[in-house]
Amino acid sequence: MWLDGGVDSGGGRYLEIRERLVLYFDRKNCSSPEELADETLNRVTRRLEEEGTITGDAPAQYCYIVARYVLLEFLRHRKRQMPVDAEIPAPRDASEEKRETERRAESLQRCMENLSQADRALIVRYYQGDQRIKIENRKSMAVQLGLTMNALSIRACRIRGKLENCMRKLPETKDTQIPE
Amino acid sequence: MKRTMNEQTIVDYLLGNLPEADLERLDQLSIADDDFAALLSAKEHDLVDAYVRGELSSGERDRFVSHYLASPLRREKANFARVFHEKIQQERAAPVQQESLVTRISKLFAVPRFSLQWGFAAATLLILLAGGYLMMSNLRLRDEIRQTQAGHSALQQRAQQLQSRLTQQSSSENKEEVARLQQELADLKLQIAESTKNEPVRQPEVKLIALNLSPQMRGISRIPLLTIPGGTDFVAMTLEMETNEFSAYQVRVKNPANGQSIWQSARMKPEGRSDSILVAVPAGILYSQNYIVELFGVSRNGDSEIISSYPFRVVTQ
Repeated sequence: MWLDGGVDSGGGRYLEIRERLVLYFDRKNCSSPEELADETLNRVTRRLEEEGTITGDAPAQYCYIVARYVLLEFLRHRKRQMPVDAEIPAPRDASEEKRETERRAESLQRCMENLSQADRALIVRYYQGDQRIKIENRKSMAVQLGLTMNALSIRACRIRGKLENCMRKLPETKDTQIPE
Repeated sequence: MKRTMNEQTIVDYLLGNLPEADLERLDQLSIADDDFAALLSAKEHDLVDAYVRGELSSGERDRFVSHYLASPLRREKANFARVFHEKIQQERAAPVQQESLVTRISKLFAVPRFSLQWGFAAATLLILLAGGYLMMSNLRLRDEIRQTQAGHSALQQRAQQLQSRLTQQSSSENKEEVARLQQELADLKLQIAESTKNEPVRQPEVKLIALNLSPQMRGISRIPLLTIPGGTDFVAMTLEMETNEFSAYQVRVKNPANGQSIWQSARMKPEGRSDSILVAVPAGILYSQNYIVELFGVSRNGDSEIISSYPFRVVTQ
């Protein structure tokens, strides 16, 4: 409730903040961004339990402050993430890469079938066209749906995020480099 | 790909190109500011899509590969983007399902479209009104046709009778009577010709029989007998008058047993100088019994008085 700013979002706000923290730690090239995000939120929860409330900072701002400390501790006391060149795995052979691409396509198909018809139609139309046509198309969509461009963008991002999470939960594959 | 200054800042942030101070500011906003967090997510998707589609500049592409793709999580995003855009291409190429006519029509009424729905209601009302008017007109015209045909046939009957009488009279020396009958026959033939002009092309068959009645004389005289065959529609009665003094006439058929009137004609004018009145009485009202036909003269001021009565007897078959 404190994270929601007094409005019960049913845990949605918690997941939203957690996702931002994961991406933050990932941008810092932390090896386990999800663990660090959970650690951050655990510390915030402990503080709330101890003191009953946290004043002075908005909930999301306070989460950032705690995340910064968690990052500094990670960088100070844990082994720093391996250099970029050493992290990129060796490319697969063409046939293996092809099989992997096919598997991802099947996974995406299954995940798209789980979307509502409206969400599926929106996301497909949102990404159609190239550059200028895409922009005009999105403007037209926003007008038809009675949304601002920003609101439409947020809706499309959420749907895309659903698909990404869905694919992430499907059987994992080995990491691979994107073919150039 | 042209970007605004804010968009370029975000791209530089994602590619790790910003100085430390700016980096920390955007780090804070990426967690603490809802609007910036949403914008960052959208621009990251655009950046990854641009890489997958080969739309990045060579410098940005190198930086993307070396910096952005260093993270397994971000490589996953790029992998997703590749299959996602292939899928979008497939979805766009899929044929549009044709809605059935019933679905399309039903969709018209699914959403309130007041102007369309009121238009349909108005059109329906107009069609109903027009249909009602046409039906009434049709019934009226059919009735007129029946009456016209009845009159035409009665005229023909009368003409035949006159011809017959003329033949009889011509053998006598009553020249005046002959002349009168010839004139009457000529008038009748003229009327027949006129009514033929106005006859509709399609003539439903109307069965009628003729009855010629003379005024009842004092004393005992035989009552004319009328045999009505089955299926007869009208009895064309010719009522002979002793004089033709009134501007209009009216005929009434009475049941002498109870004195009740069973039929009455509209007011009619005599035809030319004729001393007879022709009326078509519906055969359906006549049964096997005696009847009396009363002829009324109507003066110009509207007063009517009985002129003659004509008894007759009906036998139906």
